[in-house]
Amino acid sequence: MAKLQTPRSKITGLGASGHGTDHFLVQRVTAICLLVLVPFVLFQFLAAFTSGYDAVYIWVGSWLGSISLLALSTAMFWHLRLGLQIAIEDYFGGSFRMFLLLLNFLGCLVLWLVSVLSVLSIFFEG
Amino acid sequence: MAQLTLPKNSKITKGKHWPAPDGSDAANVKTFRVYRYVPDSGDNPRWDLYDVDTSKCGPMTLHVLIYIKDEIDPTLSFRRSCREGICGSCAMNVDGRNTIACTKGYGELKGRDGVITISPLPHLAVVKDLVPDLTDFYAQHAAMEPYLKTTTPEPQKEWRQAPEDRDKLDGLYECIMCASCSTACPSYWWNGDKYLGPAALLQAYRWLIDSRDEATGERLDALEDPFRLYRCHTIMNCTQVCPKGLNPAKAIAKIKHMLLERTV
Amino acid sequence: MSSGQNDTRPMSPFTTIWRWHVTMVTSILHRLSGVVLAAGSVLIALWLLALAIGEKQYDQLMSVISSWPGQIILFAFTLALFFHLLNGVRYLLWDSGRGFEKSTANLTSWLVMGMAVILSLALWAAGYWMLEAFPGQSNY
Repeated sequence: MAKLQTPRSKITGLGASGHGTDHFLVQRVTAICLLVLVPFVLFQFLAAFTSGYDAVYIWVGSWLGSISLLALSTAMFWHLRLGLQIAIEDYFGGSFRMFLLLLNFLGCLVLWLVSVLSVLSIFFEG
Repeated sequence: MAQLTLPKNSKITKGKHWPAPDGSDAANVKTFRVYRYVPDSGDNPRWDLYDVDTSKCGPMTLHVLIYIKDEIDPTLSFRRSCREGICGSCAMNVDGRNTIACTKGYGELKGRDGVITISPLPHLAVVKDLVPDLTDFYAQHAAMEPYLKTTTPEPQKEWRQAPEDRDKLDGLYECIMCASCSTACPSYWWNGDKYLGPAALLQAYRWLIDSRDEATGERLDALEDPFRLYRCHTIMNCTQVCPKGLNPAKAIAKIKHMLLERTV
Repeated sequence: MSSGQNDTRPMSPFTTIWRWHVTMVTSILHRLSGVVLAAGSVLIALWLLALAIGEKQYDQLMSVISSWPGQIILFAFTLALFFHLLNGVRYLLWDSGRGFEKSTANLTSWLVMGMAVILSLALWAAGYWMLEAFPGQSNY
C-alpha cells in the first residue's frame, strides 16, 4: 500500500530551512579570492619549482609568500569544503551522507591546519 | 537518496517489431523506437520498433504517434490535446531531448542509426507507455502559490500595473507546464523530492517580480533552502529543452540574486 | 520519483537515453575537476609540510613529482585547475544574470574547454623553458 500522504504534504516536507544563501555567498567570495590568488601563487610556484629547496624556503618564509599562501590555503580549503558538500548532498542520502559530510569537514580542516602550520613554522624559522 | 541507475523493474527489454502496413512506400519508411510499458502484464518495459510510412502522416512527432495508434498498434498510450504547442500534454523525450511532440518535426532529428527513440519524460514513475506520473510536479507548482497575494483591500476596479512592470513578466507567464525542463534536470532527477525544479522556480519568479504582489518576502522565505532552490547548479538542461524558448535557468539566477540582495 | 513506498511502477529512463548538450558536459566537468583538485589540494598541503620539515623530505617529494607518472598527474591537476578556474568565471557571470542565452552558454562552454587546454600547455611550456634556461639552479 502506498503511503497515505497528499502530494502537497510530501512536497512541503519539513519546510524551507531558511538558509543556503550564506553558503552560496561564501562559495562566491572564496571563488573570487582564488581567482586572484591562484594565478599569483602559480606564477611564484613556477619560479620556485624550477629552483631548489633554499629558494623555495626563502620565498615561503617571506612576508609576501606567507601571506599569499595563508590566504590561498584558507580560501581554497573553505571553497573545497563547500563544493564537496554540494556534491555529497547531490548523490548520497541518509546516514551515509552525514558520515561523508563529517569526513569532508574534518578532512578539509586538517589539511588547512597542516598547510597553515607549515607556512607559519617556515615564516617564524626563516 | 538519489536514484542514479534504473531499478531492476525498470530495465527495458527488447520488444516487438511492427512492420509498416501493406502498400507502404519503402522509400518513405522511417523507424521509431518507442518505450512501452503495460501495467497489467507484470512485465518490464520494452522498446517496440515501428516502421512508419511518413508519406501517410504529418511532419510532427505527434503525427507519427497518432498514425501508429490509428494504423499499426491501437494499444499505444500517450497524452495529447491541442496539437499546437499550447497545452503541454504531449511532452516526452524525443531523440534524447525533452520536448512537446506536437511541435517537434521528426525531419530535423538526428536519430541513431536512422532510428528515432521516443520515451516518457525522464526519471518519473511510468503509468503506461509514454504517460508518466506528474502528481509531484503539479504539487510543486501548487506550492509556489501561483496567484496574486495581497493584503491591501481589493481596489474597486483592478490592481494597476505600469507597462514596464508588466514587461517584466514576459518570458515567464508563457510557461505551459509541460514539465520538459524539470524532468531534463539532473538535479531534479537526483533530488526531485526536495528540489523544486526549474518549472516551479520559474513560476515562483513570475510572482516574485510581479509589482502587484505583496507577499514577495514570504515567497522568498519559502525558497531559501539548500535543496528547494540551491540544488540548481546551472546545468542549463532546462533552458536547452524548453519548447517555448523560455529561460528557467536565468529566472532561478534572478531568484538567487534577490535572496542575495536582502542579505548583503 | 515514485510516489509510494511499494510503488511497483517502473522509472522512465534518463541518463541512458539523454542526448547531451555541451553545457551539460562542462557542468559535469566542473564537478569532476573540483574533485580532482580536492586530491590536488592534498598534494599542496603535503608539499608545504615537506618544505617545513626539511630539505630531505622536500627532495623526496619533489623526486616523486618529477617522475613521469608524477608529471602526468601534475598535468591533470593543471588541466583541472584551469578548467575549474575559467568555468568558475562563467558561473560568476551567470550569477550576475549574464550569459544565459543558449547560443552564448554553448559558446562559452566550448571556449572554456579550449582555453583550459591552451593555458595548461602554455604553463607547462613556460615551466620547461625555465628549467632549460636556469638548469644550474635545479636539482631535479
